[in-house]
Amino acid sequence: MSDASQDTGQDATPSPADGKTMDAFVQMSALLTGFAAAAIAPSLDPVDLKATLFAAAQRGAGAAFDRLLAQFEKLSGGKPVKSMSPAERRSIGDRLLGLGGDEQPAELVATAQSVMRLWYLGSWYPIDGGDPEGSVASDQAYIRGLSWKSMQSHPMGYSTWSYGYWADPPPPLSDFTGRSVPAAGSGAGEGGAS
Amino acid sequence: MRAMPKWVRSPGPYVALVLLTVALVVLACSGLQRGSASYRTPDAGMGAGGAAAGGSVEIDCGGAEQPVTVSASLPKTPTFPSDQTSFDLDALQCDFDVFSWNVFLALSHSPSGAFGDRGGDNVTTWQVWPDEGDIFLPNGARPPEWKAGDPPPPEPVPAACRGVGQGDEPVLAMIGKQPLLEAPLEPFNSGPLIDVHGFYARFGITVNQPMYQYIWENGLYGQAGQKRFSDSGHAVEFPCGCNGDPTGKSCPEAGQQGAVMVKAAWKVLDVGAGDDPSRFHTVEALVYTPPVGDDPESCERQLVGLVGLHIATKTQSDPQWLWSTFEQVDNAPSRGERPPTDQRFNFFQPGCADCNAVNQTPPEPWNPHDQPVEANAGKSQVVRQIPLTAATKQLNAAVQGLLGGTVWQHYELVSTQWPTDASGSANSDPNAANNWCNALNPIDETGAPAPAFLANTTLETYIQGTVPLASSSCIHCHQNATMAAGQKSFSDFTYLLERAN
Repeated sequence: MSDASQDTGQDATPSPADGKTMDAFVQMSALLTGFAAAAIAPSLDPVDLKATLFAAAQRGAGAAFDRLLAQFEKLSGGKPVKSMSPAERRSIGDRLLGLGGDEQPAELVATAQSVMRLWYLGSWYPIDGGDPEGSVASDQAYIRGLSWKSMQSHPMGYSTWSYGYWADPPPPLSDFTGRSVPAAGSGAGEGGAS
Repeated sequence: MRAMPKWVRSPGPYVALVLLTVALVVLACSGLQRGSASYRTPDAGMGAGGAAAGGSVEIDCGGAEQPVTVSASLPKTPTFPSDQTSFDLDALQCDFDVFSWNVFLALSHSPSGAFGDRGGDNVTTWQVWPDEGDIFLPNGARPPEWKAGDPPPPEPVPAACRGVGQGDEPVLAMIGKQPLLEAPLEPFNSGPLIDVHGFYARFGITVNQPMYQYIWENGLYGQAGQKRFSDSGHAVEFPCGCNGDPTGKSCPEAGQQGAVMVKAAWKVLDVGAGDDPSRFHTVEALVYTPPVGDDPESCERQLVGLVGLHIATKTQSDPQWLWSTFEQVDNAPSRGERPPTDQRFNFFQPGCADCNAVNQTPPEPWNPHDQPVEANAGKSQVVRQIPLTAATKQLNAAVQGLLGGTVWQHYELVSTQWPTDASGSANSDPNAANNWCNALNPIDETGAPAPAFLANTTLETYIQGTVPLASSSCIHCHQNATMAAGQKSFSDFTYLLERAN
């Protein structure tokens, strides 16, 4: 092949969310994952992971995802997660995940769970339970999955630490989550820059 | 883990940085006429023969004007204007790209400050710096010292090149210092770059005085010295550029020039075949080729033209270094473009039916003694996988407008890779002991580079793309660099130290 125009295939471009909707997604994700919003969606993100994951969730759950986001916005009243008390965070999280007293539609529970898995594992798991192996949202979604950060580690074959790092203890968990580590039995951690 | 103050690449710290740099920006801009494509009289520091160009152009970065200046003055760090209103990725990219152009223009002056004094061309500052062959001598021998303010030490000439030239040519000596063909190849042994006329591209790496001196003072020019350095608990930490602190607490009072390394790609200019030297920075060089198979080593005096240039600059706030990359504008089309069949490129032939596949390494055997390569299938057919952004094209056009009458108007910035979160939660404490550097981000030592991927078509030809680890990312690749010896052997983002004997 010699033509510069060969192989001009374009990647599927997700429909962008407006700022308010994206902010709600990030805040809801922070609440569901336990990570600070700034840790999962930094203000300067060269790969714009949140947009990739938003698109994956929208594609995967459709109207249920929109309803879940609307529910979160209503429950949070637009209050950033970092400003919520542990009790508020627990209450909203339980509601989204169907763990509270109020009945939560099963498809919204499944959507909330899939959003959590999406951030942690980088894969979308269908809300109807099909495809138990899930589908990887993108290479960046995989290598930046929160599961690696929770382990204070990195994906196999992809490290952002220099040679010999394994001889030293990893940085504290709070460096990865952006939140202080909660005391035993206290529920969610306080502080952190979300 | 070092305990240092929090430094996150976000609007807050940038505002603080702005406050620290306002005075310097004002000083730097004094004497400039504001406004689009404004010009000033070439400054008196330019060398005899006169500068063909001199002036500055203001670039709008995030609502503030940033000057790109044709000056021999090498900036130590990027600047962030006090009136900049936006600090998003695009605005900051603009700030770093302006820095890249200012560095490129400064280093493209001659050591005496001349610019375009040789028919629009000139000797460049980076060319006379020592290259790897000057630093990493056989048996780890100690190279000469290079004190600040002194001219660089003389370049040793390979035996095969003695008597070939007139005695003043630079040696393209990246080749021949290592095993067979390593130097003519690209990263990860991904193959040679062979131009449309069938000639192998050549490469060279040079370093500035602060970087050279650090290697020299710490004995890192040899494996034994590297082991001693490492065994005594030291970690490689090249000097970081900073703009001076009157208190002397965060930077020397007079400021400090950080380490700079330059990697250049050259092509042999075949004037008879249509290469136009007036579109290149050129040099008559001694091109050395090591023995290959039955072919003995050789050295030829050839006219070569600059086709690619990496400039890596270490600054206090960017301990992952800033990676600026430039190319000659005729190198290759971008993906998706349909160039006319009569358009000339250095590494792409439009409408070529029997050419090698795009961005695939030429088929082996590779032997630079057998050139020019006749068959099109044996040459590189190069396409830029990630096109320049519209903002970069606009910036390039504005700067190139300053450079009329010089060869430098035919060069373009591809992009600048910079760390968006250089230090993370680390408590940075830049001081003399750590060479005035901030700490690396403890959970991501690459600092989340932007753009995530960056390649020069002449230097990372075959590893362009957007696949993590497989595709070119300056910082991520160089974060894996180590010394040739020692336990604590991270080499601070340079592979040069691996070449120690």
